[in-house]
Amino acid sequence: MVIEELKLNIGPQHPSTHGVLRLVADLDGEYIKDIEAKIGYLHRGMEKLAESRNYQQYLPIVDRIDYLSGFFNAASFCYAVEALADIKVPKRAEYIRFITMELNRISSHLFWLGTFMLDLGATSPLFYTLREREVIVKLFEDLTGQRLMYNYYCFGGVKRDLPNGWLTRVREFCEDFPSKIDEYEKLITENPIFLERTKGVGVLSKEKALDFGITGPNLRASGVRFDVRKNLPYGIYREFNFDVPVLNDGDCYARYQIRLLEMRESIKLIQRAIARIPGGASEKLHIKRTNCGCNKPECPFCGEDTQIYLKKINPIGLRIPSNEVNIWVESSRGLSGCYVKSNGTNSADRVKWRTPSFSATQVLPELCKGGLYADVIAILGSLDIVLPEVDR
Amino acid sequence: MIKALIAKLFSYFSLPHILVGFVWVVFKFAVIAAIMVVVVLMLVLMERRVLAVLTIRKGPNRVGPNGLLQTIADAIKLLFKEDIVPTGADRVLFTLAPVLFFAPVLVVYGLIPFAEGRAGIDSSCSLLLLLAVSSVGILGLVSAGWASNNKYSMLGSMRSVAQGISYELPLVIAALGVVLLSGSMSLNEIVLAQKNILDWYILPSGIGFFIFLTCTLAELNRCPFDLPEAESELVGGYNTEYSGMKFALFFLAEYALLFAYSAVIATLFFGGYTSPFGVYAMGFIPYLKKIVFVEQFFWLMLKTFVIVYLIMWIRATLPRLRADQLMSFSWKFLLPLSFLNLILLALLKYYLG
Amino acid sequence: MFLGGFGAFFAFAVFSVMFAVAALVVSFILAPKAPSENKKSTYECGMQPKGEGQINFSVKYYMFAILFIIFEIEALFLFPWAVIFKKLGLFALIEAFIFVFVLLLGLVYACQKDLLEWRR
Repeated sequence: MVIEELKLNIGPQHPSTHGVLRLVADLDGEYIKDIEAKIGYLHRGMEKLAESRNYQQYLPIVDRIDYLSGFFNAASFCYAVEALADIKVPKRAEYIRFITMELNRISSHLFWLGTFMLDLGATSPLFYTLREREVIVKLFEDLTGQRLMYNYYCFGGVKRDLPNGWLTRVREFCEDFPSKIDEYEKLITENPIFLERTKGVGVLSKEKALDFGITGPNLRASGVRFDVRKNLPYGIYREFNFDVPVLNDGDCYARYQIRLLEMRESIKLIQRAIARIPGGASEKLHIKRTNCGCNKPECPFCGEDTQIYLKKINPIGLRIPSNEVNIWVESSRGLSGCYVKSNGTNSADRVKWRTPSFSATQVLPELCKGGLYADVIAILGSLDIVLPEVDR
Repeated sequence: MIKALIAKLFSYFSLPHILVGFVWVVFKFAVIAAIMVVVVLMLVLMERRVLAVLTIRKGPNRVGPNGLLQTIADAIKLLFKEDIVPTGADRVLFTLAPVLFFAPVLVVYGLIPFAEGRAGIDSSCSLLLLLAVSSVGILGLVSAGWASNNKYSMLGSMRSVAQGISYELPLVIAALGVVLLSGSMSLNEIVLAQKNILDWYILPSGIGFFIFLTCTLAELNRCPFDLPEAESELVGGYNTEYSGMKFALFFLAEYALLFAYSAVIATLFFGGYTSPFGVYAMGFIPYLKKIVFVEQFFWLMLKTFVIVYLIMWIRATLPRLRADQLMSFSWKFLLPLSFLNLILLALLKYYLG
Repeated sequence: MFLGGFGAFFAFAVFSVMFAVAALVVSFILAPKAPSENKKSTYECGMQPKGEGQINFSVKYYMFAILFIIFEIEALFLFPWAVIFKKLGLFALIEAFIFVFVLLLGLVYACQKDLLEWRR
């Protein structure tokens, strides 16, 4: 009797391919003989769009590259344009960027945790993580008017100052959140079925991770201490001393743990940034500035440091001399790079995005081969792939 | 009472008396089918509400008062939904599969004693019959998966077979422990042997209860053993291609089985329809003495719904096992454990009672 | 009771099938019928399926199936033993233990031979 191979399409319309990834698997029973990832179902021509728009017009689109962590893409594009046009960013704006990015990292990881557990068949953690994510999203909504596509950063700073009481709410969230992580750990980390499903599954070795250009938590779970925030700091990250959690196993469980550790680390970073932000809470700053009214650059209330931008950029007038720059930002998924080549006009000659999910999708077949079908879903979930970022 | 009434009616209309038994069975079947349908309507709503509470949501709350009519609305919708048979599917088997899955469920209901001496089918080996009948349903799953001509369905049905053969054994042997303790294969007698809370078989056979509950989850394809219909892996599993009433039959049977197995657990380990205090409140009141079965039915329902709640709670807590882990868990852990349980119970029974 | 105790059992089996069929018939009468090529196509995540679903599928657990039959029959043998266990006394107890022990040995052997693993 000839045993035939089962050629199975997993995706694009599948509950757990995290969007529209398509995997074509050759199954032998439940075992994966071969698997191939096919991408491109969400291609929107993000890079080409930059060429027909001026810098200011392109900025809102950038958020859509990775809809779960929009701030990072906006940040890398802003840093790139600021580097090209030599625009100075005031300290307070940098701190606001810092806080929003770290919060965004947490919200992205929370969503990942929920969907990862959903992939493993546990439905409830999703609702618990979304409960906490909702707090962050609400914070973002009050800050930017948007829940996902923030369009908040601008060249030279951020668009508007923090609303009154915002920092207090963030501080409260930071105090509350570690106990919530403990709650997840209670529900998930000690669960024997979860351990069975994730320990030793989808082991990504150090060498393979480096070969495939894996970055972010996935790389750190494989034992490589590389974090753009630490190794090639941008913005105000060099002013902060923080731990980069590294685990050596490289399996799904390590990838799960590293993200929990990262959330805890982000909380600490946010707390320290709130304590150090120039000008402090905006309600007090506003009063102090009114009382002072000196407008001198060295004043602690009216000075450069406490502004959110130094001068408004004219979108049509922003003509950047011919040059090129490559900016790396550590997004919640890894190294998110933005290459911008300017040509003297007000729109870019070429914008190239380097996204972490793309490499993670590439390594997926390597990890899945020889495993069980159920493992494919677990590995796919643990790699934290976001499809719009892969296809751009 | 009702049987006598039927007999009276027959003699009144001078109908052949031989048919009395038949009409009696039809009557019992109608009652049990009604119980099943009502129970399923309640269970579906309960499951959605319980899961909603456990996952900080509200659950259905729009249809009817407080969302109570939600399942009825769903049932009507499924009844009026177009029935699609995919091209390439085996038409006959495709239609037969839900029937094959559904039919044993009602027989299982017939075997459960809902009150003293009040089971649809009186049999001295009802437990054995129940175990035998309840495993017929797997055939329905397999034929559903095969007939759909869909790869996901096929994988799902293959998994359900693997699960069925692995978890049938510990289940049967755990039940064997109860048979050993009570010395009877009749569910009615098993219940009567545990008339108050101290006689419940959960006490000597705690391991047996654990094994039985675990295997029940597997037989029911419920979390953490919901591999045959793992929605994050196999989309819909064996019922991916089903729609309309055929899907409804699968759905109905699944929830009906959930209740049936919970009732069996209550019967085997928690004294079934008997009161935990050994006496019935209705037994003290002269006129209600005759309908003490109502109270017995209430006790069974109470115990069953506690177990149903436990199963739903498990679903909200645990992730899903993997196919190979599922198999080795059964064969390397549950099966030896169930034999150990049997030996312990035999020794206990021999030396103590 | 006609046909002894099993009469009701068979009657129930027949009625249950009738119940299910009746549900299907009612739905057949009530439900709209508007099939189309797209609607009837097999679901495979929105793609055209490659190859058939009904193939000679590699079932990795046939060894379990064989073991299952052995153990299931054994369990059936034990049922009558369990019922009259009290009457049989010590002899039957020890005999049943030996019976179970032999089968457990078989299980251990199967485990040693790696039959209780999903094989590639």
